[in-house]
Amino acid sequence: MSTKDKKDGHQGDHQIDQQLQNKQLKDDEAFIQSLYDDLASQEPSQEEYPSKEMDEKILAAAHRSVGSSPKLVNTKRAWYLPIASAASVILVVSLFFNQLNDPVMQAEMSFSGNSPASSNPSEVAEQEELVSEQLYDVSPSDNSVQASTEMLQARPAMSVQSKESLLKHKGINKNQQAMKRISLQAKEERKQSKQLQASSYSALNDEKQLIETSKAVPEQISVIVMTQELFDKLVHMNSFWLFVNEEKEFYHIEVVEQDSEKMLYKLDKKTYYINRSMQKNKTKRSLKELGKLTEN
Amino acid sequence: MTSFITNDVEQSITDEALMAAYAEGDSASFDLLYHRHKVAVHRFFLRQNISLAVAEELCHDTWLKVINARKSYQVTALFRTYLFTIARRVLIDFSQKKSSTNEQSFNQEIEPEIEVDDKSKTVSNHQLKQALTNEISKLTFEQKQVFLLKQDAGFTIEQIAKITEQHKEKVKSNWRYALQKMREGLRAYVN
Repeated sequence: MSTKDKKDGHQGDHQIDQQLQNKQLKDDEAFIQSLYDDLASQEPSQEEYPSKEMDEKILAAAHRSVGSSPKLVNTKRAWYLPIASAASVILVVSLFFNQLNDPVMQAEMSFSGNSPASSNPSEVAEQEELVSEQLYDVSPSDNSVQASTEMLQARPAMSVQSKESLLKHKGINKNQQAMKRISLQAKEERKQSKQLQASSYSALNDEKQLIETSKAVPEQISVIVMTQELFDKLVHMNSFWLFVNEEKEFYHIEVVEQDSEKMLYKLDKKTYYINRSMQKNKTKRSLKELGKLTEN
Repeated sequence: MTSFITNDVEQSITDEALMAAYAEGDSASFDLLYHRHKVAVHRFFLRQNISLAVAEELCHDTWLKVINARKSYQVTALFRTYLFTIARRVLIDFSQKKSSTNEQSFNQEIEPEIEVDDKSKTVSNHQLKQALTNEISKLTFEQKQVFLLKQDAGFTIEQIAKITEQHKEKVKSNWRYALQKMREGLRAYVN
């Protein structure tokens, strides 16, 4: 018998053993299963069930474990409630004091505080005046040219805002009278501010013109309007002139008199004419020349 | 105690889903889970040839471990596998503690073997259970675990390998030897 045959023989034996083992295993399993089936067919004994006490113990422990969990979460967030409360209180208090500092509120408080004594018309007038001062804190001298237009524009806006804030924050009927007064005062202030604004604009324009003129005209020379008499006199004195600049209705010329004193004169365009070449070519010319030109 | 396994919906919920719900804080899910498996766990300990009081204590310990580990529970296997892995560890801890303090073996609590009348071949339920318990107690620790997990709890060889952290072939071998021994001991009880 060859080694190959021996190997094949061993493998065959092994397979047979395996098969036998498997068969044995299946038989054993069936045997034990039949016993268990016999037991299962009968009523299970009470002993196999855990006691009620143990059931209760385990379930109680399970419920306790879950019940403790939300508490744990709450303790973690325990800081939230006091912090939130403290923040709310701080906010309310700061708002309260902020409102106290509000001029409208102060005015209203002064009105409500003095309401029993406000039957006297003169006192009421005084109070209103006081309120208007408190509201705007602007002196009458503010209508000068130096008052900025922003300030003037802010005035009516401020009064409107004050009224709105008063309505928003208070809304108390007992102070309606004070509200009306403030409203009237605000309207008057608005009118005044518009007028002031207009005047300040015109003043500013004038000032601008002056500034422009002062920039164009040489410094320390006063401007004199040229009259016919003056012109004749200067011609007689053989004075010379230089073109300075031109405006809408006037020419500015510099007249050099015999004693070398320079004077700035304003010439009306209706009476005098200076052509473009003379304007560009700024040389000393005789006033006779100018006169001749205008005559032409 | 309220019967939880009355609703079809409840029955359709898997053990794993129930345990996950309990981990999230739903205690009712644990109630259902406990009522599904309490007998199996209890029987597993009872078959270890220990007194009823000790079996209940170990059972209690097992469920407490499940409760305490609820937050770390992750669905990686069947809940039953997870549960019996804990039960087996509790049993090992108990046996180690007992062997260190007292050299008494579990077998000392075994009741005397029952004489079976071969002719009549009729045995009572109690007698058969007792004989079964006796034969189980004669198995080695590993054979006993495998036998109980397979025959009583209904796990597959693969699942037992996972629970006992042993190789599948070793589990199969233990199962075969356990069956042979059990059959030898219980031959007289077959009708």
